[in-house]
Formats: sequence, C-alpha cells, structure tokens
Amino acid sequence: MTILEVQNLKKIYTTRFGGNQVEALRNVTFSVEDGEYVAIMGESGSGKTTLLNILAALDKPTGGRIKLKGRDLSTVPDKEIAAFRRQNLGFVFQDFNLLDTLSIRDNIFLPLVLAGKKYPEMEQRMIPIAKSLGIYELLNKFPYEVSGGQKQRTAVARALITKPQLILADEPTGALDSRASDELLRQFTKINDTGQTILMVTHSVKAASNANRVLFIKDGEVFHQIYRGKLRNEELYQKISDTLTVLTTGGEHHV
Amino acid sequence: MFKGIYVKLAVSNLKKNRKSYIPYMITSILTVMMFYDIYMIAINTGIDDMPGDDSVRSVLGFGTMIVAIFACIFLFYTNNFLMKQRKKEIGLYNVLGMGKRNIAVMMLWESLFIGAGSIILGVLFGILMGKLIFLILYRILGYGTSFQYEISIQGITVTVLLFGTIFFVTLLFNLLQIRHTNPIELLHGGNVGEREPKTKVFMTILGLIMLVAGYVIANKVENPVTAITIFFIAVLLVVLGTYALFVAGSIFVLKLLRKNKKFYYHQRHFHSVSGMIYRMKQNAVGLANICILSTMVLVTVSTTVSLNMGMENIMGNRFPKEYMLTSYDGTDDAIRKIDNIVTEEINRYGLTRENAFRCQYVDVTAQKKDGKFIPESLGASFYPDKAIMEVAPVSYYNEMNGENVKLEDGEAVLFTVSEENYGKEELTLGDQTYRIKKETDTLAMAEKEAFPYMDQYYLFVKDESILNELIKKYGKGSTPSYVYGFDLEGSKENKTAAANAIQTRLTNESKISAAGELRDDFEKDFHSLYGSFLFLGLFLGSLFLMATVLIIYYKQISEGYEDQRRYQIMAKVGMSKKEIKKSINGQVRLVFFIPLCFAVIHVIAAFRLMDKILILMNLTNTNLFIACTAGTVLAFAVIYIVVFKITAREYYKIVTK
Repeated sequence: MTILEVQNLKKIYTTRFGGNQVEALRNVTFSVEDGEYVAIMGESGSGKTTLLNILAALDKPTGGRIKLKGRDLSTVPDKEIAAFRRQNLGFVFQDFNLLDTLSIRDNIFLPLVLAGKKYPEMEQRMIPIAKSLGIYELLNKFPYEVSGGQKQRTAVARALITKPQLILADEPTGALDSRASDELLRQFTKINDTGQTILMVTHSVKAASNANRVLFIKDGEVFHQIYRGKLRNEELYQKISDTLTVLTTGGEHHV
Repeated sequence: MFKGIYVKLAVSNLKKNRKSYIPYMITSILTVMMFYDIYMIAINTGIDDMPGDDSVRSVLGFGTMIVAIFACIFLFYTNNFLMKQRKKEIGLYNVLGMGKRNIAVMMLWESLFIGAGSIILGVLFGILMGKLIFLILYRILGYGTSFQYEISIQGITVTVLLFGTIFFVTLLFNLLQIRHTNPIELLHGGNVGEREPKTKVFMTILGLIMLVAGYVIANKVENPVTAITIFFIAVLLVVLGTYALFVAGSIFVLKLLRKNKKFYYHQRHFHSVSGMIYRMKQNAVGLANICILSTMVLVTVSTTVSLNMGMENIMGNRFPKEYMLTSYDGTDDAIRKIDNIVTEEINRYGLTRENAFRCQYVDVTAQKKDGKFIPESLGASFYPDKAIMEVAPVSYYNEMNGENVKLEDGEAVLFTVSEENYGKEELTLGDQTYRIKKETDTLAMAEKEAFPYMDQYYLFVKDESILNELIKKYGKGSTPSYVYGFDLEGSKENKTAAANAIQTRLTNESKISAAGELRDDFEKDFHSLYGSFLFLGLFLGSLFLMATVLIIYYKQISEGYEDQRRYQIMAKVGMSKKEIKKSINGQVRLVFFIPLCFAVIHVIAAFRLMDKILILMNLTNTNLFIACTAGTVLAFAVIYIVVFKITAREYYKIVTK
C-alpha cells in the first residue's frame, strides 16, 4: 500500500517585493510504500530541506499534490494542521530539538501531552520504546546531562511514541560522531524492521546506504533513484558514491 | 582615522541593540529629568514665601534623596541586564580579534553616547517639565499665586555630577566584568544557567517565616507611636521574605506541581510548569523587584492621597476647637487676666464664642506599676509605655459638663481617653489614693479615642490645693497650666484679627506666656505640609511606576529571545499557533500577575499599620483610607494590565518570528 504520494511538487520562493523568484522545487514526483525505508540525497541547495518542510506540512507547495495515506494534504484545514502533523508524522532533526527544560522522559512525552493523553497511557507506551532505544536508564536526566547520541535517540523515541504513519528524518546523523551515527542507523534499521515507514534526508553516503531505496535530487527535481534489491550495505555504499560522482560532474536524467 | 572606527562601532552597536537601548535611554532620561525637577524645586527660593516652608522643604529634601538612591540602584540594575544580553556579541568581537583594550574603548564611546545623551536630554526635559511640575505642586498646595520659575544652575550642576558618576561607575563595572571573563565564556554568556535550579527548602521556610512575621507584627501594633518603628522592621522582614519566597519558594512550589503527574502532564500546564522552573531561576529577583516597587507605589500614593482628602478630618482632630489658648501660667490671677482679655477682644471684633470650655490643670507623667501610678515629673512628655494624668479641680468639670458634683478629700471624677474605661473603684497617684466617685464618658475638653498615643487620664479632684501639693512634690516653682478653647462665629478676617490682638495683649500687657492657635492659621501650614507629601507621593509613585514598567518590558524582551527556540521546537513537534499563543499567555500572565498579587497582599497586610501611622498624623477616617487604597490599587492594576498587554504582544512577536 502507498503511504506517501508526491506528484509534480513545485515550490517557488518569491522575494518580498515580488522581484526575484527562486525555484526550489521544480517538479518532484515519487511515492513511498508502507514499510519502506527511503533516503533522499542531494547537495546543499538542491531542495532537500524545502521538500521535507513541505512533507511536514510546515510549508505550502506552489503547485502539485501530496497525499498521505490517500488524504490530500491541501485539504487539511489550517486549524487542524498541527494536530494532523502530531498524529501522522514523527520527526527527527539534525540538532535534536529537545527542550532543555524537560527531562528525557518529558521530552518523549511531549507530543502525547499535546494530544491530551493520560499519564498512565503515556508511560505504558514509552517504556518499551525507551528500552529498545537504550535510553531507559536516562529517563530522569536532562538533555544537558546526556551525550549527542543519547539525545538523538530521545528524539527518535519522541517521534515513535505517537505511532506515526511516517517518520521524517532530517540529517539525523549530521551532529553525531561516527560511533553514535552507526548506533543510530542500526536503530533506524531495527525500527524499519518492525514495519515503520521512514523517509530520511541526508547527504551522508553512510546513512543513505542503510536505506532500502535512495532518491537523488538535483536542481529541484528527482534526478535518479537506486533500489537496494539484494545488495549489502557496502555494495549500496559504493553504488551511491558512484552515482554522486556522476551527479556532481554532470549527466543525464535517469528517471 | 583609527579612532573613527570605535565611534562607528559604538554607534552601530547601539543601533543594533536599539530594542534594549531605547527603553534604557528613555529611563535614564526620565530619571535625570525627575531628579533635576525635584532638586530644582527643593532648592527654589519661591518655597520660602509659602506657609509651612520649612516642612515643605524637608519633605522635598527627603524626596530628592530617595530619587538619587533609586537612580543609582535602578540604572545599575538595568545596565546589568543589558550587559547580560550583550555578552555574546562582545565575546564575538573578542574572538574576531579585538583586544579587551579595544573593546573597552568601544564601550567607552557607547557609554559616552548613552550617558551624555541621557543627561543632556534629561536636563532639557527637566527644564521644560519643571514649569509644569511647579504648577502641579502649587496647585496641590492650594496656592494660585504667581511664583518665580527659574532655570537652576545649581540644579543642573548637581544633576550632571550625580548622573555622570553613575554612568561612569556602571562603565567601570562593565569593563571589570569583561576583563575577568574569557572570550569563550563571553560567547556562551547567553546560554549559561541551563542547569535545573535546586530546591531550597530552608530558604523557602525562612522566607515564609519572615513574611508571616512581618505581617503579624504589622497587625499586632496597637500604639501609633510605636507604629513607625515597627513599620521599618516589618518592611524589612517583608522585603526579605518576598525575595526569599520569589527565589526559593517559587521553585519549591513549581517542583511540587511537577510531582503531581495528573496536573503536570496536561496540555495547559506541561510547558508552563517546566518552563517556569527555569524562568524563575533567572527572573525571581526581577519579579521580586517588581513586587516591592509596586507595593511602594501603592502605599505612597494611597496614604498621601488619603492625607489630602482627609484634610478636614485632620484639622478637626488636630484642632478640636477653632480657637485654643494654652497658658503655662495657670494661677488664678493669670486666669482672670486671660479671660478678661479674651472676652474684651472677642467683643471688640463682634465675634461670639460657642462650645467653650476652660480648665486649670497639672500634667503629671507617671509610671504605671502594680496598678498604681507613680508620678515621675510634671509636664506631659511622650513615652509610649507611660501614662499622662491631667489633674484639675472639679469646679472646671462642673462648668464643662454642666453638672454639680461635690467632692471631699480623697475623692475624684475620672475620664479616660482610651475607649476602654478605667472601671476600678480606686486610683492611686503617688501616695494618695482616690475613690472614684464617678467615671464620665464625655468631657468637653477631650474625646475618647480608639487608639490613643498613650495612656491618658483626666482626674478631677476637690480643689486647687491638691494641684499645688503635686507641684510642691514633683515640680517645684512651676504653676498649673490653663487651657481655654472655643469655636468662633464671625468673619474670617475678624477671627484672625482677634486672635492676633489677644496674643499681643497677653505678651505685652500681661506678660503671660500663652499661645493661642486659630485653626484657620494652621490650615494653610497643614495644606502645605500634606500637600508636599502628596506631591512627593505622586512624584515617587510615577518614578516607581516607570521602573516597574521598564523591568516588565525588559523581562518580556529577554525572555522572548530565550523562548524563541523552545516554541519553534514545539511548533515542529506539532503545536498549533493557537496552542502556542495560549501557552504563552498563560505563562506570561502567571509571571506578571504574581508580583501584582503579592503587592496587593502586602498592602492589605500593611493596612492596619498604615492606618495607625495616619492616626499619628491626625487622620482618623479609616473608611476614607480604605477608599483611597482601593482606588489606588484599582488604578494601578489598570495601568499594569495595559503594560502587560503591550509587552505580551511584543513578546509574542519575538517568539513566533
């Protein structure tokens, strides 16, 4: 079943007085199936972040359509958009975005509290997630007391606790050292194995080589995609590297 | 050329930080202005022509001192606030290769611009506003006469010196602070204090005890004379208690709330409670400042307004009769002369006496011991723990009250000033015990009081011989005193003329040392005195109000920047704009209305004490005081809410940027 459908997505930024127009997304079309683990790659300025913001309903497209589980995002009224985001999407950011005033536990609870859930239910949902992410012992600590990797795993727990349709990850390994990155990517694979759909934006080849499918964006369009098929991580890594070389030195569209 | 760059940097820095510096400049300008104005008025020669000029001058002198002290504290506090915000920026300059010496030069220019600008503009506005403030003062004092308004060179000099020093010292302090920190610390200057504050149970309890103790002593006071001493102790306790409770108590309560899972994990409370725990760490002192300042505004304005609105009540208490003559020579011969002169002069000016009373008496200051009164000296002196016994022949009692009581030796008629009667059968004064034949509830020459200054009795005895005996024993060589009081019917001019004539004849013709007080003559003095109190109350009230507004503004701005990131995260995680607005409103409202609530509680707790102090100033109309206080609180709350609304909007703009 298709979870996410993106059709002819277009985004044009206009400067305040309508002078210059910048085309961030020209024509992006792709779809994500239930249980998939997709990585989107591209250089800085290729439109990755714009795409993610639009998928997260933080920004509105100039043209085209996004369907999440068959529902057109543009039909969700503004009033409900925050609740919609809360219920259907989980986020993992490069800079963690944890609230420093909340303990690890409370940071994980945040979306549930916003949704008005009762405390016993929150606790019940949180415990298995925290255990599997290896942060159960840290629940009473505060963000400034734990390492970057632990912070990011807290953010993952926060994304998972709402049982979202889709997890959107924006450079999740960007602020982590290599060991913490490896650990986080292992967690992502584990989470994906339980059937959770993940869409990750990254320019780390290593991170992308963990995904099942890699999309390449260049100049606001999907330029190429690679399926893992039977490839091992190392092989996929090589293939991604090759593609990136072609991408940066120029080449034809393959989609 | 190289110097030019510092000036340029300083100017661009001030421009960049204008959101913080404009209010700072405005405050500085207003403070300079207010200091110049009050100082200029206090030293103005025009005051000499006013009735009661001495008291007006001393009240204004006191006000000048308060404004000066306040200016020091307040400008220092706001400067500190600004520096905290700019640490990062200064750290950046340091990292980019500016030495600390260069930074110092840059900051010197900044201070020069701010300081010189504030002083020049402040004095300028002071000169402009001075005329208006002068008019207000005269209007309050009740004199429409023209006056000499002059630009005071002395005033300008003192203002420039005072504020020049303040700005210089703050600059030194800033430089010292920068000198002692390294660039990395400066860079992170904005981010320190992320650690969760500890719960200070001991401090919470201490604060609570101090606050309660302050409230209790303020409400235990019975005697107006002791009220002033107690007032300062109570104020000190309450101030300290407020700071302790804001600093420690707030965090204690918030952590308790966090422990309550059902309350804490609720959409509306979750972010507020957790955010407040951090917010209180940095802002408790600021909020306590707001609270104390608000209390000061409320107390000064409400009491001074009461004093002015209760002028009639005050005059009635201070001068029970329109004309009162007190003579230290109260021998029968002197009394005859006084009575003659008074009657003659009153007739001459076509006036009539009403409600007259007269009495010959001896004042005895006595120590109360085992229910007995032990005389210590003759003459009334104020000791809150002693009693005054006014001993007089019963014939005057009969004359005053229109009765015909006959007393034997060892018998007396008694009147107590306190509402509670003496009630016993006997009264011992020295070695003489009197049987109380009658205790009267009314006496023409005195009134019962709910809270008298001190224990005061009127003891009417058989005749003058007993008075003479007391004099022989306790005050050799003195004579009884004599008091003659009455209301007058007739024109104002004639009353004054008669009073003057009586005074002149008594001194020149009869050589009797007596003083007559005509209420009208004193009314002007009292108007001046209490009018200058009101003026000062309003003046200081507006100064404190300005400070409160500014602190609130700064808090909102700085917290806005701090919360910006938090709200961005919340928005990303799935909080709608509406929810964010709600959460902000809730939190901000809590933060800013706690000081107001505490201020109102302080005022309520201080009410009885303030009422007592007003009694000391002859204002006994408690209802009037209640009305004035309620009015002041209401007016203040309205201003506070307006400020809150404006700054909350500013805060929202910053947070949702």
